[in-house]
Amino acid sequence: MIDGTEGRRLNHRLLLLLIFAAVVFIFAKLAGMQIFSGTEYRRASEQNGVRVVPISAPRGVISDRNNRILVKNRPSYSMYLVPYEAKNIDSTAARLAEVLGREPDEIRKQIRLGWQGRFQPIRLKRDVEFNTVCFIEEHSLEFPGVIFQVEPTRLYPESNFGSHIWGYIGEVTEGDLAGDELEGYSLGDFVGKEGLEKQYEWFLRGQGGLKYLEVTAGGKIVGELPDRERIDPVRGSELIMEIDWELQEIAERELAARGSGAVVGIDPRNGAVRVLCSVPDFDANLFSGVISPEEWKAVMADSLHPLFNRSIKGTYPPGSTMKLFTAAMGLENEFITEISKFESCVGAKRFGNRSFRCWKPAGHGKLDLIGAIIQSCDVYFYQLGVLGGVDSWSTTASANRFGIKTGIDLPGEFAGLVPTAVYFDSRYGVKGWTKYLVLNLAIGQGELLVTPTQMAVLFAALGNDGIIYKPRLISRIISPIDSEITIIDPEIIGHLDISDKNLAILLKSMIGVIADEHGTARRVALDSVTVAGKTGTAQNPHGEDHAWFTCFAPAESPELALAVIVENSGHGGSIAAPLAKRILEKYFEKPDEISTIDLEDNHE
Amino acid sequence: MNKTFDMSIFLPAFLLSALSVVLIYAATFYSASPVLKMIYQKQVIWFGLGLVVCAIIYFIPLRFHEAFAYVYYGLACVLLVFLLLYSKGSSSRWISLGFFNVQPAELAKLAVVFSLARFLGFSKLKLDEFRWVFAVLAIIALPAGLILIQPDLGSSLVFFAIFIALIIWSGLSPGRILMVVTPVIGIISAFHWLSWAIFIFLLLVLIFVTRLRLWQGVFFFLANLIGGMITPVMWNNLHTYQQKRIITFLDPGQDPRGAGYQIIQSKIAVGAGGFFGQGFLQGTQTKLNFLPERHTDFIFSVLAEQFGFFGSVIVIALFCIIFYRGFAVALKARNQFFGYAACGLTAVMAFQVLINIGMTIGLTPVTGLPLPFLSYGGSSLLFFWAAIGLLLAINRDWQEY
Repeated sequence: MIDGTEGRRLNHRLLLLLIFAAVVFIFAKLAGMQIFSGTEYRRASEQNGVRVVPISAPRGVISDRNNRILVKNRPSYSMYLVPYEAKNIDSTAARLAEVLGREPDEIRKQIRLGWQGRFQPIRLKRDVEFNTVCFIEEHSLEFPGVIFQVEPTRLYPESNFGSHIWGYIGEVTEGDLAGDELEGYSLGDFVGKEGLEKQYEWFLRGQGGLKYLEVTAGGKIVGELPDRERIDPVRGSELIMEIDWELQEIAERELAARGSGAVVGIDPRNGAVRVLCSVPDFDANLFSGVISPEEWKAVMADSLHPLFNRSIKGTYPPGSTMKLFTAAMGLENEFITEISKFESCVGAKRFGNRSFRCWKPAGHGKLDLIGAIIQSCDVYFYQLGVLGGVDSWSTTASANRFGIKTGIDLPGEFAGLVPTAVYFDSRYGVKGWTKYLVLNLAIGQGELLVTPTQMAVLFAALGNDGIIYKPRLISRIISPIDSEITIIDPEIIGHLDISDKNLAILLKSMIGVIADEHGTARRVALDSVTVAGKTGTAQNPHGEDHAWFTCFAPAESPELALAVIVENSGHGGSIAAPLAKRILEKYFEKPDEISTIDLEDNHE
Repeated sequence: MNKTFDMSIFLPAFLLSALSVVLIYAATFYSASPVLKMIYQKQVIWFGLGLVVCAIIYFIPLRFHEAFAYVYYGLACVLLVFLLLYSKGSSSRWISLGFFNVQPAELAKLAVVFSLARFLGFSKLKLDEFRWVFAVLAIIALPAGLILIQPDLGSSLVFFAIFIALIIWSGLSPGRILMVVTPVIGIISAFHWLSWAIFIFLLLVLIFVTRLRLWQGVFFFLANLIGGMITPVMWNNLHTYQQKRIITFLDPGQDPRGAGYQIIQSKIAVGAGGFFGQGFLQGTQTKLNFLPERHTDFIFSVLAEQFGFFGSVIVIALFCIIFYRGFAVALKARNQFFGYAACGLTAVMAFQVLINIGMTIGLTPVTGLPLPFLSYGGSSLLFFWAAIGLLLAINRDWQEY
């Protein structure tokens, strides 16, 4: 052990030694920088400054099944302000407000919100008009610190068509960043807000890069800094849809001609979504610049709700299309067989103290099950409903996946609703309803709610031996890095709770709906293929009835199942069915047109 | 000037302060702001005031400071609390007195040095006892904590430096000094289980070798064990942005747009200086306004750019003369109190010089600590001139005896 004084003397040396060592270290570093690397640093300093500029990645493009690119990017000028170079931010903001036709306060607020340090450029406006860019560049001395950066912006060349499939993008707002959801995003970044843009955001987004620019004090860019390597942006992955754009275009056009509603087309063999449209729609391009408050107000104020995707969020009573499942209830529970008959239809029938009408006032007479489906006789199904009762009806509906989300790859799908005895008890009170409520349910009216996508999925399953595929919009995701392809396989999510024998009965009657001389959808008949389907008219307490038509073709081995609903338009047979026919015609004439599709490949 | 006045302390400080005016003039020469352009004149006034402060302190009997050490301490803490209340959460480091602003942190440095010197210099204190280290820690923790929540991390680190310097100066054995800093090493090593396991093992060896009393050994062991275990948990509970802020503090290169930008610019300025510099008013980095904070925190970059390695070495040598003389004064001081005070003041100076210059060349974090004598700023200059006055006075006292 060292004695006290000796120890202290050693410690005094230790303290001096520590400081001496640090000084030597600094000398070494200074010598390295100033003597040995001096020329390199001097070159970097010569008339130059360094500006770190983020490079945004282009979002992934979206193509249809024939590789026709439907969502892409275009270059646009974004205006940035570098606060450090702006010197007097207030006067720059005032001058910019003049040029952009905005309020100086608005621009000052933007600067305040976007502030990430004096050297970090703040994006003031996306997609600046070229004339404005020229004007500011010509008068650059009046706009110190204002720079432009070419950035990709979303371009939807098809405008409104398909808008409900891909949805839209928007800028990340302050509120968005408050949550944990958008970890890694900055204020003003684009992010998918609806549709595929939202669902596949992770793939579409890509990865932003950085570059280090040498800039003179006057703001002139000399080039990239040689000793700081740029980080290249990685573009987002490409999405290949199952959508068939030719069919989609026809569906959009035909639906828009008839009013509002939705059309969903699915390949029963694998769940591929060929058509998905919802009218009214919107122009997604509106959102990819910075949408002005006026434009936003106009969209939001539209009483038809153009941003509402009816194909997955619209819930309607299925109308008579439900009769197939009511029939399934009867067959599966062996309440009836295909040749069972009930009391003759005379246009109405009395249950309890109320008379329930058939849609055909003259009545259908005595029909068997198949005839009742073909002619959509309400009186037949009233009687079948009462025979089965609410419980077996709702059990059948639930077992066949009514009231359950289909799992389509779009955000915000609604599940619809299957009312049960428990539901009625809670809604009307235990004694507040009678067993005759089932009359409405049996013909697809009342509380039962379905989405068009659900109907397409279930009818696809009816044509595909009861196998239910999850509907898929995207078949492949192609990564920009070594073009690695992720294939999204078809996925079976369940089976209809209907035996093969009974499926055959239902099929026979659905063929009759189109082929039989009394069929409600006679006008849909095609020369080339047999179509199986069912019309429906959903009563709408708020206005005119909604017209339904659900079908698949060819009946024996279906390739396309469709669900069509036209809101407030009347009868399914006369409004919705002809629309479906147009799509089917296009689909089955297809082989001749492959050459034209090829020509449109690979445009970007 | 008589023999008792130590020119080797006064002259380097005087030269550095004079150089400061020249560098601030050069740093703001091309500035667009007329206020900034005139700022070197203000520095001349501060320099004059600094000399006055130095003279006053030189002539105050040293016994006075010893007697009032704890009163200074109390006053400084009251000022720091007042500052926190007065700034109401908006991170301010000044109390405005109308015509000029006071930085209580500078006063607190003096107060802490005096009260620690008085505490450690207390003749009946048994240095072998080790337990006094905890008392020293407590004296430091209060003002350092108050400054940390301003928030001014840089200044609170200065107190840590005072602490380390004084316990080394006190003659504590190297093993025990190491023991005192184990929590810092422990927290760093706790980010990987293996490094932490090795650390704990070495800690046990150290506890054994330094022959601590049982309760002290147990205390250090438990403190490190608990600290090491909660550090990763706390880290993971921080928000990503908070983690980023800490990482950026330690490695500014991670944030090339914010703190990293300053470092890039500063390094370019220093490196471009070459051996003899670009010449007075010639540095392009400062000339073209690319180097931020160049009259305050980054004044050394201006020096290095305009006067090169040559100028930098001379300036650092001037600092080294003050450090050397400061510690020499501390060694020869008439009593323990003066010795500790001289050591503490010199340590503050050395720490700020090393951290600030290190920052401009990318070796140390960006803490916002000014460079003694050279950076623009009244509070800092007055503090260091007060320190020079004290060193001169302590030297005089020794000479007179």
